[in-house]
Amino acid sequence: MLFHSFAFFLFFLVTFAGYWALKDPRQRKGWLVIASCVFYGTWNPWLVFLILFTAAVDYLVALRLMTTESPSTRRALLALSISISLTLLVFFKYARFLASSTIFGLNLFGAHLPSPTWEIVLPLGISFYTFETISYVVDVYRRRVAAATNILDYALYILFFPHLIAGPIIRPSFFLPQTQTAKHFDWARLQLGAQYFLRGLFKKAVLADHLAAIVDPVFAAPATYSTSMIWLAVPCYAVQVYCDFSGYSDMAVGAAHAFGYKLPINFNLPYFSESVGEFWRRWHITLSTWLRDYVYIPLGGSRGSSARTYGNLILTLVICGLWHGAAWNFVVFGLYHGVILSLERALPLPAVLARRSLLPLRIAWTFLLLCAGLVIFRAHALSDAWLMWRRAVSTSEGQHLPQELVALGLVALALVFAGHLFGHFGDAKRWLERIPPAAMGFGMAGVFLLIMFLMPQDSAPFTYFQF
Amino acid sequence: MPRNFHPRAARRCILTAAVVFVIATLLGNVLVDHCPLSARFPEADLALKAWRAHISAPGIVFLGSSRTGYSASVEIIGPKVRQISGDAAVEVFSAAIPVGDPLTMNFMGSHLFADGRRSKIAVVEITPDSVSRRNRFLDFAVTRQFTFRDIVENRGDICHSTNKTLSRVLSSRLTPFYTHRLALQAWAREKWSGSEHVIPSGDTGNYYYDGIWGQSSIPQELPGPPPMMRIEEDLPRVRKQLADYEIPGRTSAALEDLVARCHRDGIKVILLETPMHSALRALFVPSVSQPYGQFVRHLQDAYGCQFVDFSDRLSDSMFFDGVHTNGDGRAYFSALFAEEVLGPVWRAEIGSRHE
Repeated sequence: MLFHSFAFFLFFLVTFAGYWALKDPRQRKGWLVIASCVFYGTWNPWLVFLILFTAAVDYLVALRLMTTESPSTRRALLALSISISLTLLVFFKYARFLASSTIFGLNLFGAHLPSPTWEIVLPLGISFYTFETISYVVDVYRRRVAAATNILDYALYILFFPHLIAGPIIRPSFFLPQTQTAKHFDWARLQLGAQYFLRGLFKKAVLADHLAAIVDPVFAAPATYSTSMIWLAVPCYAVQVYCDFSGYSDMAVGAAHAFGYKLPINFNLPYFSESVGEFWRRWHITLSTWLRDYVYIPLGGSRGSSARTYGNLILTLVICGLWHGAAWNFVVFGLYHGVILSLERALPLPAVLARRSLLPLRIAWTFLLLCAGLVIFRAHALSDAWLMWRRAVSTSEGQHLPQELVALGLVALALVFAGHLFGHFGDAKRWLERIPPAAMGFGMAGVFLLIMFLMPQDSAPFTYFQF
Repeated sequence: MPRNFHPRAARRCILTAAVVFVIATLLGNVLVDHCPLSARFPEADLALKAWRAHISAPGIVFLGSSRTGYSASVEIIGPKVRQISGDAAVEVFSAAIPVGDPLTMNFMGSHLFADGRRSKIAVVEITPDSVSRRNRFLDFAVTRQFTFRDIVENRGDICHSTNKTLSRVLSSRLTPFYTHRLALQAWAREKWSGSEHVIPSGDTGNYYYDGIWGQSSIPQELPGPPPMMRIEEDLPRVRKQLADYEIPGRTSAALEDLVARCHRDGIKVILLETPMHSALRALFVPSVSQPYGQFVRHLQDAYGCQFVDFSDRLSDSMFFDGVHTNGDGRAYFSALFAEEVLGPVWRAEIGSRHE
């Protein structure tokens, strides 16, 4: 059930009406948990039990951690919980990749083993909820949060449908206190949620889905397209993946507001970053901060030697790359970003280049580096990425996309650029404040109708679902 | 908190948005019910335009679904009928529509003969599954041809049909700008650029239909899975449709309505049971074939129709899937049908006119 489908429209209306019709907070939480299971079960009902199993193990481990003082027992419990979570993640997401890579390695030494032909169903959102359960147990272990005693609170933390499939990755310290507070129907919050949802819907259903018509054919057969088309398709992919994922996050934040819950903001004008380091502070913020707190800092962070710091950075970014998918191009993507981050740390920008007047140049340079990285991320194989890079820097002949698609791509790029400019320089709150409520309502309905009208025929699932 | 996010202002904003949305939805429903056929049902529009391009009504018209469209080649049947009957002027026209259930056939019949020009013979497709009350093609009819009134009139069959049909009715009426966006976009493009719009591909569930049933549009083989795999995919759906088989309903009533109209207008009706793969025919067990046979006999008795059964006349190698013939099947069926049925019937028709 996609957020931008009619089925979700009905599901949301029923869940929303039922939630606010109930008066008892426990019943409301129970209703949301049931609705979330239904939401997840529309993909594969059996995989609901997998989440419930993971969640139940971590819930029980956390309760035990609260009552145990022995450091060795606490460490053992933590290790048990993390091992179970990571084993499931590795099994479902990485088993095939590990097997085929091992076989490939053995075949290099003349083993002649066949490639694996089996497939394992990838449970939707497993990377997201696994990270959430790990952060919960680790935070309880570190005594940063108290274990949830009410199972409904904990179940809602893991299963709450707006963030269940593709984040944002929420922390227990952020969400669990919200389950304790009384919820009152709030028109202002509903309006805020509706505006977030509409913004996300526009990004996903109008911009990202239309851009697929440019991106997909070029990345599918890069050898057949001209240099100019590659220079169009790559930035379009950067915009597509941003609109797709930030659109989902906006819709998730908006949907959560309708039930009186707040989710963290996941994107903050990422393509206006002055460096790749800044980009990771603005892009998928909840993943970046998770990796910082649960991988980079525990590895030693920047507390050791420079070489150790660079090693930690590269390792963290490789894990980040692998988190996105089980393939070598994701490993190389992480490595690419890790090396750039290390270089940025090792070679600070000279004063002459750090001048304010050169800000647009720094932003453009960072965007170029990001686009080069996204080619690795999106290409079907590393050889395709290499081919695209080569064709991008040489003048290659090849086919062109239809004129109207080129125009569409340029309009989408211009819209996202304008959105970044407005977000950077404009004051959206003040601007919205000036609009009379009735006009705002009229505008919101108009935008919703326009989005519905402009949606393409084939709406793709969210890119980050596969992660 | 900004003025707009004050609870009272927010309430006003949300309620205004809701009212505007409801009004727009109602207007959208009116728009969908009254938009030109070319926008909402371009397949029918193309067929009607082709029909109107004839100075006088073609003598023989085929009314059916893609089964008829695939099997009956007017380019083969026309010359054959002219040769057998000796009438060089007879024309054959295919008004078959992809996913054309009896509701669609009746819709086409009412539009084709609306201007008073009538064929002499109408070949009307009929199969046990197509007249079942549980109509699995209803979800196409509800979006491309049903008005709000049609939905109210067909509510019983809609509820009796698949969940998908109900969902499509709801989405069509609650979010018309979403469900009909392709049709409305095409209409807007047509108005804007003045050019004919392209049929939204994929909406018909058909493989190669491009607005005509010409020979060139039907390939010899289809890309993708082999025929048997397609049939095996389709069998559970047909089996589900035939479970608790019953005929009385709006779908069979539409077929009877079409036949009655032809009867009133003096058009001879040939009910054609189109060719089918043996795997599909095996599903027509007595609990299906008996009520179906009674229904066919009722049509024959009440309206003097001729019924011809070609369901088992083609070998299984002549199909793309369970019901659509490939190039060989198309050529074979067209020639056979012209020689055995249409040629002699048309010759008799001319004879009776001369008398």
